[in-house]
Amino acid sequence: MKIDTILEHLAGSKVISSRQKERILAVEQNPLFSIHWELRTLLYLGITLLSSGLGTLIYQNIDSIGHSVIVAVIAILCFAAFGYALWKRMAFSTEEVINPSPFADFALLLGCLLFVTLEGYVQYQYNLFGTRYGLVTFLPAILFIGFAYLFDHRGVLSMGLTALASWVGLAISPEKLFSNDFTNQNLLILAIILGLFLVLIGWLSERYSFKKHFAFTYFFLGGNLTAIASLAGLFNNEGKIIYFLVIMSLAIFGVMYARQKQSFLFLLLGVIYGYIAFSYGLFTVLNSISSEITFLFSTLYFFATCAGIVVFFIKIKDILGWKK
Amino acid sequence: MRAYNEEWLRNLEIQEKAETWHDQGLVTDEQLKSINQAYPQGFYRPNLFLRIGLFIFGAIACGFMTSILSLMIMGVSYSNMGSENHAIAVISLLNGIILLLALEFTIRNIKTLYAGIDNMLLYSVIFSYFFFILYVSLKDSTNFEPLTYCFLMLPILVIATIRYAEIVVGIATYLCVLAIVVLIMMKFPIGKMILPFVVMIFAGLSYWILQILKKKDGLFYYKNLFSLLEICCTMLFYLGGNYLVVREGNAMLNDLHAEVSPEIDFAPLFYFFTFAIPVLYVALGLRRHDRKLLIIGVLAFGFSIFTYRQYHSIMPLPWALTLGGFLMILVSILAIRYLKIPRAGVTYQALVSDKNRNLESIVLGQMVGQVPSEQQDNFQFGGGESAGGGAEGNY
Repeated sequence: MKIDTILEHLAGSKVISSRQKERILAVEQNPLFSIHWELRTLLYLGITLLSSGLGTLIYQNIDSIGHSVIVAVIAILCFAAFGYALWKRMAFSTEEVINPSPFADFALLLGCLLFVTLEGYVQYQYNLFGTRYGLVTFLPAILFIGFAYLFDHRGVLSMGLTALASWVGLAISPEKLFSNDFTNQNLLILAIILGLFLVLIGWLSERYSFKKHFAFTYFFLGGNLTAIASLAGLFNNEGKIIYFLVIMSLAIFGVMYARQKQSFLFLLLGVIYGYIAFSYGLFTVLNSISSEITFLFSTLYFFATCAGIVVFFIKIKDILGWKK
Repeated sequence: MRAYNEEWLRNLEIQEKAETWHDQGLVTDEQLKSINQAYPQGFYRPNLFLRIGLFIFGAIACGFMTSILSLMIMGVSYSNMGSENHAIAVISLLNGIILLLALEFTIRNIKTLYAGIDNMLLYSVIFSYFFFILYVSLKDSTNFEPLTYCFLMLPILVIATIRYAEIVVGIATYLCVLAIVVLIMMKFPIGKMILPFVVMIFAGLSYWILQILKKKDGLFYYKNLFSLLEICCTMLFYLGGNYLVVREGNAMLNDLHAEVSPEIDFAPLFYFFTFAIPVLYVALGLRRHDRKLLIIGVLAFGFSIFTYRQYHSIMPLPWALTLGGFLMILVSILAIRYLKIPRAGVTYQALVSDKNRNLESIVLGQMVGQVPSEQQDNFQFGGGESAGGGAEGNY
C-alpha cells in the first residue's frame, strides 16, 4: 500500500483538499528520522556504566596516589553535575515542569548516583557516620526526594523512595520485591505500613494537585510492596483475615483508580492480586469446612474464573463505563 | 486463507497514518473523523496491559481446560488406549482441535487483532500439535532425531504463519527452517567447517527475499511479520560472523572441552566481521532511516566489544566500564547537540509524544541499587539494600 495511492483516494473522495495532499506527500517523502529515544537510552546507559565503573574503582588501590585522584574526580564530577542541574533549574511549580535543557535531568541523575558512591566511600574510609548506619541510606533518601520535588524528576523520586525503603530494611524495586525476607513478621508489617503510606502520599498528591504526576510512582512502588507483603502474610502467618482485607481493599482501590484514570496497568495489577487473594481465601475456607475438595472442583474453579476474567477484560469498556 | 480481515487491516493502516498527520497538524479534527469513517475497521485492539492480562488468564484457563479434558479421557478409555503415551497423544490432538476452534471463534466473533488471547490460543494449538507428534513418536520408546521433529513441525508452522501472520509463530517458522539447514550441514564434516558462512548466507539470502516480498502489495497482510523477520535476519547475519559465537560454537560442535576453546580458522576474517557488521548496520540505519538496523547495530557493537574483551585483556573491567560509560555519555551529548536541528533528515526532536515517562522513572529507580559495593563487607547498608545487584557477576 503506497502513501500516494492512499492520498489519491482521500483527495478523490474529497476528504482532503489537493493542496493538503501535496503537503502531506512532501512530508511523507522526506520524513524526519527521530533518534530521540535511542540517544536518551544511550545516555542513561552511559551514566549507569560510568557510575558503576567509578563505584568500583574508588575502592581499588586505596593507598596509592592514583586513588586520591579518582576520589577527587568523582567529587568534582558529582558537584559539577549538581551544579549544572541547579544552573539549568526551572522555577518550582506544583504542576509538572518540563525542562527545556536536554541534559539537566541527566546531570541530576549522574550527580545522585555519584553522591551515593561518594557517601559510601566516605563512610567506608573515614567512618563518618560511625555506627549510625541508618543515616547512610536516610541521607540520600531525604536528599533525593527533596531533589525530585525541586527539579521535578520522577526518576530521582523513585531512587529516593528506593533509598527510603532500604533505610527501613526493604527492597522495593519490582524485580527485588521477592528477595525481601517476609518470614520476618516485623519486616512484613513494616512493608505493609510503608507501602500504604506511599499509596496515601500518592493519593494526596493527586487529591491536592501537588505534583500529581508523581502519583504513579508512589502508587506503583507502594502498591506492589503492600500487595506482595500482604500476600506473603496471607500465605504464611496468623491473622489471615487482616492480610486478606488489606489486599482486597488495595485491589479494589486499584481497580477503582484504574477505572477513574483509565489506567490498564493498575487494573491488571488489581485483578491479579485480588484474584490470588480471593482464590487462596476461598480454598482456605472450603478446606476448613470439609477436607474433601476434589481435584475436579478446583480444576473447574480455575478454568471458570480465568475464563470469566478473560470475558471481563474483553467487555471492560462496557463494564466500567469507559467510552471508546 | 487469511484469518484476519484484510480490508480492515488496510483501513487500520490508513487510520494510523491519518493519526500521525493529525499530530503533525496536517489534517484537521473533522478530516480525521471523516477519514476514520471512510475507512472503517472494527478490530478489538486492547491496551498492552490488557493484552498481557488476557494472555495470562487465557493461558491459565486453557491449561485447566486441558486437564479437565485429560481427566475425562483418561477416566473413560484409559484401558482401551494401549499405552499411556498413546492416550496423551490423543488428548493433545483433541485439545489442539478444541483450541483451534476457540481461536477461530475468537477472531471471528470478538474481532481480536493480536489481542493476547488469540496469540495465546495460537501458541497453544501449536504446542498441542508438538506434544501430539512427541508422544506418537515416544510410543515405541524410539525417539526421532531432531531433524525429523523439525520436518514434522514445519508444515503446521508454515500453515499457521500464512493464515495468522503472527510474529512469534513467524519467527518460530524461520528458526525451524534455520534449524533444518544447520542440522543437514552438520551431517557432513565439510558442513561443520563452513557452517558460519552457511548461516550468514542463509541470513543474507532471507533478508534479500524479504526485501522483494515487502514490495508486493498483495502481501500487505504480512507487513509486521516481515519487519520482525528482518530483525531476525540482521541479528542472525551478525551472530553468524561473530568471532565469539563461531569460536565457542566450533568448540561445542566438535566436542572440544578445553578450558579455553581453541583458536579457529580464518580468525582475522571473523574479527573483521565482528566489528565491520555493526558499523555497517549503524551507517545503513542512519542513511536509510531504518530504526531496526540502527538499534541492532548499536547492540551488536556492544556485543563485539564484549567479544574482544573475552579473548584479549586490554584493561580491567572497572576501567572499561568507566571509560565506556564516559564515551557513551560524550557521544550522546555531542549527538544530541548536533541533532537539535535535523541533519540529513535525522533529528533528536521527539516526533511522537512519550507515553512511558512513568515506567521510565521506575526503571531509573533501580539504578540506585546498581552502585556496586564490593568491598563493603564491614559496611552495612540497611538490611534490604542489595547494592551491586544489577551489576553482579561482573566483579
